[in-house]
Amino acid sequence: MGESRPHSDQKYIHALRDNDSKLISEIYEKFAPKVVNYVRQNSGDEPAARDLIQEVIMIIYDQAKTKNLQLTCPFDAYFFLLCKRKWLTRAKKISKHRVTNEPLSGFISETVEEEVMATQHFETKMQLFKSLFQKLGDTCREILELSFGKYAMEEIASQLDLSYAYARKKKSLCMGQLTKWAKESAVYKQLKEQ
Amino acid sequence: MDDQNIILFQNYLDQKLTLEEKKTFEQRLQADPEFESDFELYQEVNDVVSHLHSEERNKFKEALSQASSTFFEKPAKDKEAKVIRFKPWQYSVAASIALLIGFFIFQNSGSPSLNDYVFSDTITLTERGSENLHTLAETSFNKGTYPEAITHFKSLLAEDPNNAEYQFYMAVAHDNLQQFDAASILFTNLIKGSSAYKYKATFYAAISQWRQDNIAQAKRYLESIPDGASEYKVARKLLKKL
Repeated sequence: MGESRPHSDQKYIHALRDNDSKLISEIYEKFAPKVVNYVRQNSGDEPAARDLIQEVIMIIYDQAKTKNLQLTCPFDAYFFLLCKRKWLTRAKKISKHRVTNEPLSGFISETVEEEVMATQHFETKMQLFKSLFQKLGDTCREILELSFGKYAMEEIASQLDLSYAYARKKKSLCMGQLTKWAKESAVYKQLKEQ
Repeated sequence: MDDQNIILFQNYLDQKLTLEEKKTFEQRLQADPEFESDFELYQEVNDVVSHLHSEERNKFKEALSQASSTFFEKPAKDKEAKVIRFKPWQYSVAASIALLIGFFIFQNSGSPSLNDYVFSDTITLTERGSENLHTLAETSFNKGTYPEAITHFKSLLAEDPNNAEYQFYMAVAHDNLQQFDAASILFTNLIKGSSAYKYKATFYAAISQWRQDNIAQAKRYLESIPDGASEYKVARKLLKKL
């Protein structure tokens, strides 16, 4: 992806990143109705649209928080395409019917496609890391979860009855285990190729 | 990636290295690409996993569901979507596109054109394994980036080797790249089998032969599609024209 200047809709990304409730409501007001309509026309209902929208916003938030997401296309197109793609996979799962209703989808510009792909890749990666985390042993999970919270390593060490040096080493090695698994996984290798 | 490096990564991130060690570390990042990419991945895993467990994320999630409730639980007519209407110039664009399409159909009504028969549908894969690998395969196929699509179908097939759907689209992808041998192996396999893709594969194997100017072989494939298969009619029509 080139070093294009961020789109003026970058304000929505910042709003999510900064948990700005006013702009988050604006996102709903402006962009949710189109998604609700789309879901309704494609064998879904409003509660399904509601979940879908919340999930997609969560993913954008996660990406904005960890990756410094720079939007180079309108938020509207980006958000709608993300919702649509997610809905298509979901609708297939539920009904086994093909969703054929494509209301005025028009042409998808390359920048929108790129941004959406980047977010989908991010989501894949995040899900991979999440599921690998579940594979870790109890001690690893415990030590990591504590370290993500507000506890300092010294406190964690004493809580787990470990020496500080050992606790730090253990934490690094647990994170290292995750990294190794991620590196070896087919999903990750594929994402890297793209 | 050995444990020693991992501990080094964390010490660097926690700023526990001496100035000298830090310098050596940074030099190594520059000189050793694998060391660098391992470090980047370590950092990424660290960032994402700690973010997923953060208090801040939980707070955001709560705020978001609040915003969602506010929007969805207000009187229905406020949130009716606006209908998007064509602007006048869009009508004329639509009209010219319709004209163009008409023109092409008219042009092609004589002898059969290969382009009318090659596989051009947008695909949607049936969900089985991981949602995302599917999406990747689907999007790259639909975008026409077939080498990428093939890689994804390969991984999908690694998990589910007998999946006819993947085999079929992978064959089409190979065919579109004019990798006819690879396509043929997959098509033949499907033709010999008894999956839902048996006759679809037969039909597109025929098209692939036609593409290679093997009209006789193409006809043999078309003839082998029995009455009752959904490809029967179009196969018969094409047989007459070829």
